[in-house]
Amino acid sequence: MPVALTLSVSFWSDQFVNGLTTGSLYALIALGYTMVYGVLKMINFAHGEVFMLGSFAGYGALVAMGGNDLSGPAVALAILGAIIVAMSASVSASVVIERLAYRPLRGAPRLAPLISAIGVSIFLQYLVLEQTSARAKFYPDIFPRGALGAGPFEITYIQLFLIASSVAMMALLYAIIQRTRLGRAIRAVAENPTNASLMGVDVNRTIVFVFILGAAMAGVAGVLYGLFFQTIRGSMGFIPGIKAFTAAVLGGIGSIPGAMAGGYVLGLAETVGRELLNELPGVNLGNQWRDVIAFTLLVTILIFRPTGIFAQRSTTRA
Amino acid sequence: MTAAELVVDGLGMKFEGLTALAEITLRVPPGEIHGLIGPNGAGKTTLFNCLTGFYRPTSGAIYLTGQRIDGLPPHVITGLGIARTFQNIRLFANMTVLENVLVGQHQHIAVGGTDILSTRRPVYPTPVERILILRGFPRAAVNGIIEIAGAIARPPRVRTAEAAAVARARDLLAAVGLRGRENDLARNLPYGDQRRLEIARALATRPSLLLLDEPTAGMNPQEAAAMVALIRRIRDEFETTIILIEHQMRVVMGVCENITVLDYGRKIAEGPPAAIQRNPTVIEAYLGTRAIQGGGHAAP
Repeated sequence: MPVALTLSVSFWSDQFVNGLTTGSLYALIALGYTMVYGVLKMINFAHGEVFMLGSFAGYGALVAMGGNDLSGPAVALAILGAIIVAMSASVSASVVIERLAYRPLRGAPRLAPLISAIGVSIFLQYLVLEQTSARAKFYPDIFPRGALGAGPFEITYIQLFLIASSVAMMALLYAIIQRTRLGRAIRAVAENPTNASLMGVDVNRTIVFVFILGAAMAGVAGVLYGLFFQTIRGSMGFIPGIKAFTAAVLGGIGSIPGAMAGGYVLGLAETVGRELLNELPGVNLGNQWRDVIAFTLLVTILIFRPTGIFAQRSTTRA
Repeated sequence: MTAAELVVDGLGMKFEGLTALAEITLRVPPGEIHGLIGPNGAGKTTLFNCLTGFYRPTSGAIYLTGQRIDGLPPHVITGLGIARTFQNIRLFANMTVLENVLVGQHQHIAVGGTDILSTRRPVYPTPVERILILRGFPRAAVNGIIEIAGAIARPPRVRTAEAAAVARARDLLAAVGLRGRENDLARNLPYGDQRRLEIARALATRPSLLLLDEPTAGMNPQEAAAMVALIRRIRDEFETTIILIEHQMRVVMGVCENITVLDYGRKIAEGPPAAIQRNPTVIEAYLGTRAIQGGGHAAP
């Protein structure tokens, strides 16, 4: 771009870190969409609510362990505990959803499970809204404040923690998919379920594992979201869910590395990308434009590159 | 694995009024190489699909070494010892050669805990499992937890099992002549090698009965001869019973000890190759093609 950047280096590095932060959340959630799509060729639109349930479960755990009174090393333990509780809640919800709402529709026309997923999504969203009287909850403000910095580059502890734990979770998932019996079974079912069953793979069981792994990622994302943004509510799953779906499409839906990369591309497009657009003369896009940018990207990709921006040769698909 | 006996008793398969198989009765003794021939549409592949559990037969019964298997899901039947290859190759194209064979070993890689699928595998409850089961967790959930925990933590036992599986996969690949191609993507292999990989992958499931659907399709005479030699070697080294569908009569007559002929979903003849070649009903069924007498291809 031949426009001289008017803002400081520290401004851009902040935008970059912000992009990585939201990108991490998108990537974590996107994995659930992409893996389920990989094996079932179905968009699990209830996945945003699985993320929301994880966030609430983590909140409940943190409050039960002392909430704002936590301090010192107890904070670390409490956060770990909250993550485990959130993962368990998301996983349980996802397994039940699969069994009740999707499995009976296996083999039905493709629209049927999709509609079922939307139904589950609305059901869960309003169930939680009802239970919370549609009020927001606030995560205990226990995460240590402060930032690490070098020169113009600065990253807050919470952002560092969020990005690092997301990357760790994704690395773990990737290792499972690439290196274990379970991961091979998942990839085999994604390529050809009939063929996989003839190799002795229990396809139904493998599909449940896919939901479990995706939901675990969403549960972690739920807690990280709560710690970072602090405000959670019953409707919180919708926008991140759709964004994560966008990320999965960006990376080529069905592809695991694609979903991770798509999450970060989307996160950066909303922050760095938006500010770059603002550098153009006469352009002034406020923060609200991030959703416009995200979904413009989605529509553009769907029109021009439906297999994703990385145009994966389908080698790494899973 | 010891070779299995296959008994098919009065098997019928109907698709919405269309009779694909009717009253098929068949006995293949352990260790036999048995040919399945017949004009296109005779029901050969349908019979394979019934044997592997892909189709649920509409009548009759199938016994593998005395155990009734019809109606069981495919992965359970695979666990009981039936494996197959396909006429049109169906590898996991985007996985490596080695990974394809590892998927074949799915039920034989102890990930910690017992596998609910395998009825053949011995049961090794781990201490963790024992506690969970005692506390009343459902077995499927316990297995799931153990599998995921094993995949994350990769304890020595899982690593040992994986290493053993990789070693066995390499042996199988060497046995079919694919040494050195382990890390290639399956789809990048030449056609003949893909067929060999399919066989290695089928062998990985430790079959006692191996079903080969046109193993020499699209091969020239030299390649076909090599395949015949491989089939014989598999029967001897891996102790399996083999049933093959084949159109190249030279192959069928050369390698099979007995042959079953299907036509319009019915068995019209059975016997050793020499008798089949002279059987008037069989010649009748193939009339118009030069299949039986010559060495060429049967029905188009």
